[in-house]
Amino acid sequence: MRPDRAASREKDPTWRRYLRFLRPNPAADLDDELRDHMESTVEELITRGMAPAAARAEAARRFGDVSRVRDVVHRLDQRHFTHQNRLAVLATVVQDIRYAARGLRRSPAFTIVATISIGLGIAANATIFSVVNALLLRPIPGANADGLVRIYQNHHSPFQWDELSWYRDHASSFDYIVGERYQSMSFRPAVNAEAERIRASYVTQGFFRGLGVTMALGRAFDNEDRDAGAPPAAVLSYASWQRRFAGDSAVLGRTVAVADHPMTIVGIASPAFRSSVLGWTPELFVPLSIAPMLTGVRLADFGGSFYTTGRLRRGTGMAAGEAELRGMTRQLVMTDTSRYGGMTARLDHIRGVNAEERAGFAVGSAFLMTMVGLVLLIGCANVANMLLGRAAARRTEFGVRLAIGANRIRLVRQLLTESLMIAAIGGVAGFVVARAITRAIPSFLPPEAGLDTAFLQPDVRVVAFTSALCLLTTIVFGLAPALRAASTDVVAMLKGSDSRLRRVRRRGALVVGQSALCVVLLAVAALFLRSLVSSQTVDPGFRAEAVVDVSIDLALLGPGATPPATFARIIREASAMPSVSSATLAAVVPLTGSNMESRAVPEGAVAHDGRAGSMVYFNVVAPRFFATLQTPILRGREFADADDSTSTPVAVLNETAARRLWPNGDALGKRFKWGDGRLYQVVGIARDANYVMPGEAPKATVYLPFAQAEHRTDMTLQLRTSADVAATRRAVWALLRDVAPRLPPPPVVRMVDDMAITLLPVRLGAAFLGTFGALALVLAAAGIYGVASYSVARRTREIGIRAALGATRGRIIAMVLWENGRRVATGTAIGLAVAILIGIGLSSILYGVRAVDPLALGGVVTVIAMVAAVASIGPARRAANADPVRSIRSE
Amino acid sequence: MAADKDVDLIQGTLNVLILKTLSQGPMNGYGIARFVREATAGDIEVEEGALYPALHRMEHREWITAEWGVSENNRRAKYYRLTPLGRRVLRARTESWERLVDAVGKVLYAEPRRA
Repeated sequence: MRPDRAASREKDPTWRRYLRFLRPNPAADLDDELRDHMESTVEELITRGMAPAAARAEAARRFGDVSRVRDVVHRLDQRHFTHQNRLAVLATVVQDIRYAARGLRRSPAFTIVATISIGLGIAANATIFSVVNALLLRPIPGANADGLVRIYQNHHSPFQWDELSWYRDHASSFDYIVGERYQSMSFRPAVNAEAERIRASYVTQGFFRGLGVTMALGRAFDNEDRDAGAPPAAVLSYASWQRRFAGDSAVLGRTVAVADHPMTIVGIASPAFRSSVLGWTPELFVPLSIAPMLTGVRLADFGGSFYTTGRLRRGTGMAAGEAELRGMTRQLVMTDTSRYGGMTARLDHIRGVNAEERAGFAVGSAFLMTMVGLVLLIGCANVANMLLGRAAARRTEFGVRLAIGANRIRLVRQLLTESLMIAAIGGVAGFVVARAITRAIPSFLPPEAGLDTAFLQPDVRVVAFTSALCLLTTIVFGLAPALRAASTDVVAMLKGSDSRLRRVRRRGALVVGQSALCVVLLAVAALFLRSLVSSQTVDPGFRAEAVVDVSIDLALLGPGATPPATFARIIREASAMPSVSSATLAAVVPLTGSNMESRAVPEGAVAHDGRAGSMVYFNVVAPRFFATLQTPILRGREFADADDSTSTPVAVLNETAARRLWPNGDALGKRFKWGDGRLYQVVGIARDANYVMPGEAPKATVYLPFAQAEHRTDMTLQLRTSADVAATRRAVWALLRDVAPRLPPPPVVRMVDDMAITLLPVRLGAAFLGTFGALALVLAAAGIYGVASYSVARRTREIGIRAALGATRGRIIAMVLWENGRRVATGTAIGLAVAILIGIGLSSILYGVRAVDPLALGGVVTVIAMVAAVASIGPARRAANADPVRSIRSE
Repeated sequence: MAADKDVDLIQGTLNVLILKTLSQGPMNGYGIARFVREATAGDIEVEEGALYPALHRMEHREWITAEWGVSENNRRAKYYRLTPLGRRVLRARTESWERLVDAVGKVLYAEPRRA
């Protein structure tokens, strides 16, 4: 053999052999094995008398293609080892889980407190996320979301009928374009049953097919295949089918009446589907093609009220679809610039609420998610705190395990597995609680909110969110304690020494953090509560008590209704009711969520910036509106019966509108030009009153008389009455049966109940935040108690010495309280600063409360101080009661 | 399909030969090939390209186990040894092989019968 080869061979296997102690090297092993075979053959041949070179050549010839054999065997080995590795990993994971489960079982108190801390936080997060999911993330339930988009005019306006049909008939990027218009209809469940007023939708052809909505029963309607003379078809919502017809399948083919026209129920929509617009809950779907017959209104006169949904053709992107619609819109504009000028089309995804509401909900969601995030963080701090204590108690165990060769990474993994189990148990429990809460929420809301129990139900997205949250919390609360435990200094541990001071300080920092977070939550909750209270007590500028609202829609009478005359008669007869002191009509009841805006131009005003006058809020009301709502008329007069269609147009302005339109003069007696092209004369100035939001800055508002302003069919009868709402309802229904026999009985509610909807965000905010604040307080109290107990236990000897040196019980208690109090005070200061910043951000939705609200903030400080004192007093007394001699000996 | 069956049969046979060889004691790959060659007086030549995949496969299945030793010439050599499982497999395969041979033999040497 040549020396160089021999040398290299000798050297090579030697170091490789050492390498094998570290980890198996199958590739090198295989090389060795095959080389052994080759060399053995060579040796055999040489013994048989062959020359070495020839023997080598012959051996190589016999073996054939070495590299191919090596590859085949190597692949076999690889496959085997991969499989083995997987099994091994699985085995250690199972082992870790067992170890963790055993550890948790052994300390049930820790396990329960830890899982509850995490579980409450997860429950709060999953609940709020369910709401966020339903309002902002989830595609329209019950429809096939694939390629579905909303089509808006300009930013987020619905379309008129002719625009919708132009797109539908000419756009090639879409498989379907459908529209829905939501409104009240008069409905009789059988042709001669009592009429009822229901919420229903007019929908365009192919609506259900276009959205991919399945039918629970029967079929969707196709106007094309309707037999001449047969009643038109309608589809019932699943909820309505259950409620009105007890889910009886015999309802198919049944004839009902809509606006006194017979219609046949041909299908029941799938249970999940409600409407193409989130929040709408039509009971009945009626083909738009018959709307003119039912209402006597031409489709073109329905105005821009069609929410339009399209399904993009497969492979067409949103940008391409939008580009096509924009091109088409330009063509439309050219056909009639005066009508369509300035119009564009915009595509939007169809998740959650409509675009115009999205920003508001997004801000609210982000805010609430932050708040529940804080609750979870406080819970995490608790668990981290307990884990640190647990790691300290198990130091000996870890030290011994490390000393006998346990792997630190493995130790961290096991501790993280334990944390993950806590998070997982807490997560599952929290999810179950969240599910129960989200089911219950709708029953606490007014029915106008349009939510049913399924609305907030958690779906896959919520499950994914909760799982991700569990993982995240595991890392937040578990990683640091696990790393600390694994970095146990074996030698120091076995000697019994420890870096105690650092540890106490670290846990003290947890208390500071917890107090800060808790103060933030409590302070924000307090601001909401104060805002709720002040919104109840703030003077809206009118008196809603003893006023009853009756929402009357004469359009339900269908073609041939004579709204002005009918309304006039309704007011006349309502005023004559013995319990009624005053009756009026209003297009918009203030503080019920709706409002109207338009432009008023003072006579002779000079246009600047291209437009003259100002945008003002307005309302259309009948005589005695101000008397009924008891809003004082400061100067001039309010509307009278004489202000009718034959007399000079008149208007009442509120103080702000008067100042806005005539900043330099008296508004009374002046005239302004309105959108209908007429000049209205100001005959009265009324005191400012809230219109959109309670406690709002006064809004310039113009009131126009019902008899003179544009023709309206939908008005609210407002009665100031001494009777209760039930008696009023009976009386009003009797009156209406007489005046408009075909009108379904309208809803009759107290005005204060009507107004509840505007308070909903604050109410919900107060309810949620109050709950979160209480949760935070409980969790923080547990944390403060835990740290106080720990530091007392750690300082047993020191306290014993102090006692032995003559410190009184009082002094020792004061010392412990002071130690904890200092941390809580630091946290409180930080928390207050943050809370004030948040309060400033929230000022737009808080009524009558400033961000620095001494009562709210002072209350919070008091509460946290008391809780901190109560949580620390137990450990403090324990410290004071300890027997000094035993304390000193204890270590 | 038929070709696969042939491969299976050949591979199965090779496995039995290897197991039988190893039932005599631990041996490296070279030793196994040499033993089979000599036992069959050169009738059966075990190809390396078949031998090593078979050895490794049986090792993964734990019919045989391997350990590293040093050959006479001070080379690292891998010695295979039969496991109890391998021994059972050998017994079972031997029996079924004998049954096969017996059955095939019965057909091949059957007295031609007349109708």
